[in-house]
Amino acid sequence: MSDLSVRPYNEGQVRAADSLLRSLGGFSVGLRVPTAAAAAVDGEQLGISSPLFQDLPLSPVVFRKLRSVMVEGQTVKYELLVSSSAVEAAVAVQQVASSDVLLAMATGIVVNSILFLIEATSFSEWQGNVFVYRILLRESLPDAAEETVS
Amino acid sequence: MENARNTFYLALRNQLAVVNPLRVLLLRGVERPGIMVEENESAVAFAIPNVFVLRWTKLSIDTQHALPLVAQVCEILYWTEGTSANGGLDRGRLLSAMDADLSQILVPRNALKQNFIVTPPAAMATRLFWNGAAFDGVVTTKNRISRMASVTVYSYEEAVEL
Repeated sequence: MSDLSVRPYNEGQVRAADSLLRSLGGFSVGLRVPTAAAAAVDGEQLGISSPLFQDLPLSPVVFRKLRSVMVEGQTVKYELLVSSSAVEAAVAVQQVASSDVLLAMATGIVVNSILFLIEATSFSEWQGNVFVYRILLRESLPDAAEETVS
Repeated sequence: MENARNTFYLALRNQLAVVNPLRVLLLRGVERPGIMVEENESAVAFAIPNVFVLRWTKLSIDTQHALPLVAQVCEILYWTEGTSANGGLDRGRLLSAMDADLSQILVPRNALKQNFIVTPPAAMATRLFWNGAAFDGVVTTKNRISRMASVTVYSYEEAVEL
């Protein structure tokens, strides 16, 4: 039975998510984003000059390995639970329109100096407001390394 | 070879800005014509719809000429889901529009090769040329339709490139 009672929105869910994530480790990771591209400069589009990158801190988060069916050649996947307060802070720092834009422009997540690529993102919301993001990650390994490992 | 690839991309990009200035993409905060080279962009898992993605694949070198003749195959991939305002029902029409755009930006079929490693870019002595696009069939994946077209780009390796 759904709850149809009228309640004003407050940030209780966000604070609860923050508390829960902190109590489960309160880990900190870096969201690697490139600096803005130089307009009217062809070098970056041609791969001649590489853009600069910066790691925006995201905390609190929980980082865990996903339990998955073992398939040869498939990289291990990880899940990152991020508090929306951390993402909103990064959105403000980058001055982008939304968290979608921020995550789309990110090249990955840096965890203990290891870069993970973003496979997919989803979120949980309450009254139309996101309180936790779920980011699916995989290791950024070259194919040759994967073959060696397997 | 790299100069030919760079020149080909910029020729198509500049033509697209003329043929269809509304086909743009927003990447790292900068709006530019809706075409990019896959190997020159970060390995993001998020694909961008309604733009052209260039992927360089096969390479062959014919040395039976005064200068080595290099043939490089460029696969051009593009896909669309239609527009949400139309419930995605216009995706066939949008893919046809992309087919038409691609045919147009491939004309003219030659360009003066340039060296973009130096600043400003330096004009080289030879031209590169390419054939028309060979369109593959449409691939449908749920509400997404995509197509790949192949173009072979020919160029001469000049003495300074060897």
